Amino acid sequence: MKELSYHILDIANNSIRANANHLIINIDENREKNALKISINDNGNGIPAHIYKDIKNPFTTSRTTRKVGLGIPLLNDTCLNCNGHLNIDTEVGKGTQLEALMELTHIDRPPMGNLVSTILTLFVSHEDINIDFIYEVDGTSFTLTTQMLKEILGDISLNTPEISQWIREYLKDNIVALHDSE
Amino acid sequence: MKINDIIEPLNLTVITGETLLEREINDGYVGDLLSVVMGKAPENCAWITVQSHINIIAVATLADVGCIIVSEGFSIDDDAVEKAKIEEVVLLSSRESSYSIAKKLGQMGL
Repeated sequence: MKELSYHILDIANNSIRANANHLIINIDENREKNALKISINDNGNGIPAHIYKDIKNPFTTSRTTRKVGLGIPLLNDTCLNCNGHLNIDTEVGKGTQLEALMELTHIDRPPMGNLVSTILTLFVSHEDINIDFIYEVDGTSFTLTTQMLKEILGDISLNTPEISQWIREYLKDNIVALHDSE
Repeated sequence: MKINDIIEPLNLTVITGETLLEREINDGYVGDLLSVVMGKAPENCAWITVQSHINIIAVATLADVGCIIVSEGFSIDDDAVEKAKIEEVVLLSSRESSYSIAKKLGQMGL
């Protein structure tokens, strides 16, 4: 995948298909350590042992289940190409924690891509799921959760054009601000 | 062969480097894994890739490639275009596949 935001969308969709109703997406850039960490934690079904043992193998995973597909093997490749690694911890019935690590400035690290649209898509397409989005740069972080939005908005849908436009701008401004405060 | 000689026959769009098209190219290279391209792409080659972010400009500068051809119609990031202008990198784009572009360059004698 050309952009990391596609990976984030893909992994989040795995969580949603695994019946998660709470998703925590955390992006952590540390320029001093030259590290980029993307974690996605869910409270979904977890990954059964027979799939988990071969989860990074595209043949085994795509054969045994349609739920997993090529997403994880490709993300694993990306991490390894960028001197990082992919950790997945899972417990059936409890959920899954995925952590993708790579060197921030590695030449093969794909760009983040359109993260704002990715997060917005997840927020507005799955209103029954609580999603926490946290973006951290060198220890300064920005958080937006669907829970926060729902508390303010009450019965108004996140999918209302004015609301989704506001979320888009809010995400964009805050992500830019994190990178500007050098 | 000059970069200018391949623009029309391959129907390439010139994104940056319009004044630099007289540069000679004498080889071709196809690759998307930038760490490999960095070490392997020959000087003064036409480098064909699907990558379209700012790192391709860094690689082109380092390997001193003649031009970059971004294939498959991928749109190129704005910061990559800006950097290409500053670094005087010739950035071209095509809707065709990397293979198809490479094949045509080969047929033209590159």
